[in-house]
Amino acid sequence: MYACIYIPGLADAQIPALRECADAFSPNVEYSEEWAVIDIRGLSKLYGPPESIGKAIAQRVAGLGARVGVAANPHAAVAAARGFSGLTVIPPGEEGSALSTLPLDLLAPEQEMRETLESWGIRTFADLAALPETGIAERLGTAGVRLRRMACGAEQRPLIRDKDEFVFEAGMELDHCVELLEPLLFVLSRLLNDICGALSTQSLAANELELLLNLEDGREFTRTICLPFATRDAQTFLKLLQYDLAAHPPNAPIVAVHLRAIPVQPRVVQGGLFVPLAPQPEKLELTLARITALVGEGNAGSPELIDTHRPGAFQLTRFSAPETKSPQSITCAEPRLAIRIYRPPLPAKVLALEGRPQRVNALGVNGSVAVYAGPWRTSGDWMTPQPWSYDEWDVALESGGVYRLRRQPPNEWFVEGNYD
Amino acid sequence: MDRSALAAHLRTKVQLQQQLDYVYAPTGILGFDSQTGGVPRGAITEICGPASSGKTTFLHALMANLCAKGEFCAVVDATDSFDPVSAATAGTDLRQLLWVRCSRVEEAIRSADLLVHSGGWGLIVLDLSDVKPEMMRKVPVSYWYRFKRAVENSPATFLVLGLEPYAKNCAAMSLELQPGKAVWSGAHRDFQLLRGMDLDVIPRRPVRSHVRVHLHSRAC
Repeated sequence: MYACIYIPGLADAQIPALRECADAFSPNVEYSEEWAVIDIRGLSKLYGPPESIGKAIAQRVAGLGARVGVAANPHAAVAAARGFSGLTVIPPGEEGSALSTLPLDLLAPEQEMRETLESWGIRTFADLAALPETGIAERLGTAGVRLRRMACGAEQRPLIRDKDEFVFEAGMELDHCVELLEPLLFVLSRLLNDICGALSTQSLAANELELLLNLEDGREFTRTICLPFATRDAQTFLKLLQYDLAAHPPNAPIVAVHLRAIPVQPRVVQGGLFVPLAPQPEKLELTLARITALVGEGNAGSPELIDTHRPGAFQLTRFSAPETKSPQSITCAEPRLAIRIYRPPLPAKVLALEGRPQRVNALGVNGSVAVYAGPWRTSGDWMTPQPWSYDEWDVALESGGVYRLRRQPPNEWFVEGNYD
Repeated sequence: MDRSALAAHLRTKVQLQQQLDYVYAPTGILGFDSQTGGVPRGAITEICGPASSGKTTFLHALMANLCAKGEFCAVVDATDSFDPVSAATAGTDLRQLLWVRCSRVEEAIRSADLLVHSGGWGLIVLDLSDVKPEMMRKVPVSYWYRFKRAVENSPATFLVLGLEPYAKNCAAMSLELQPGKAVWSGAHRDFQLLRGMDLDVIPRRPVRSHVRVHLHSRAC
């Protein structure tokens, strides 16, 4: 059995009251714009027969201007609540006769079907219920058949509940201020276990974790851990928080801790026997965090060449093992000559004759020039605050080594790199 | 057979057996792979030589071949000298490359240690090419044994580049690169172009291989 609470012209301010009334009777409730349908099966032991249940609901919603309908299926309950005032209880099996006088508009047919039925003179539930089902199916299709069954009060369907919004958060106010990382990690471990346990029960994972620390001086300190993959492993999150807080300490005693995980669907990975070796995402993330703590932020990642005319322009992006293509092999008889770049370029004193380098003196690079090639003039970004303009030379020294020199205005020489 | 001869004979036999147990990863350089088979997996390979001897060229060819096979490479750059443009030109897929830019030798060694222990890499490179040998001599030998232990049960190749051999007995393969002649084109002294360099690769370990591999690298 189902009960419908219908409030004509339901205002936003009345929605919480409607929800409270409905939730008081059953957790299985479907909400719409102006009504709520409650599954009242099982309430007979508390309230008695359907009439008593209906009266209890009507008493609860008194003052909201609501109408209540009780019937054997949700459609009939909604139609009864919308069609009749006050409390309407339809005994099982009598839906057709109880709803017969209701206008067809309560079924909300599509415009085209409404026009067709009106042209046939169909105005009420009884008129539609009197039509043969086969004829309705031939002329109006399955939608028409369903409409007829609703007019008969015989259409069954399950309730469509709202998706519960789960919030994966945990927090704790500390009895004493925490200044050191180790005791803070103890607290974070407990909160992470709660959050990851909640994620696990909902078959979800998280790829973002927000940490909020309330400090003794009243400030709030926030850190966000973003992962390229979703996980619900508390240890992984704890380790990442540990490395992050070690690199970015709050610098004040902590009085409260709050953690929030952003839930996402867990990743689905299909392994294979012949897939090339790749770093495990969790291990990789922890390793990168530890390396970053060693070498500093922005010094570990994948190089990406920038599409610009500036020679050697690149940026470091976050490394995440991409999906690899089918394995191939590159073989060559003559490998490409590589250059090692000095960062920053080595200042050099170059003895030049008619602009051609004859002798180079720099840190670790000294000698007479045996062979030179150049200059190659390059310049760009003239309209920007950082234009460049210099000449490049390839030189081989008599003492050994092949280097790339750079001369930039007014007459500064640098050793840019060595061919190795 | 006296004792010293017997010890030398047994030592060679053990090394031979160890070499037979390794799986080799081709470098993609035909001349080198045909003579040696490539570089051993699950072991340390050391490449040493002075500036402009071809160490980086060798490295980029190996990286390009392994990336083409779908493996991931990590370069721990002790002196921030890596050139991604050269690597991309050689054929390396930079998305499969992790570059760790260090400013001190200690950072480089610890980063390499973390990578070796994390697993999943096809190639881990510890680039000490521009580090002065006197600084490297302060690194305890036990570090190299630690690297050897960590890599031996994995399919990764651990490559060390340096001016001198540092890993020594811990390396399963040790290559010495001698600077070859640079090749220039152009008739006139003032209109020349660097075309490439000759490379001389001498395998020092395994002991059984006394072959010199001559390579010619091509400039861009």
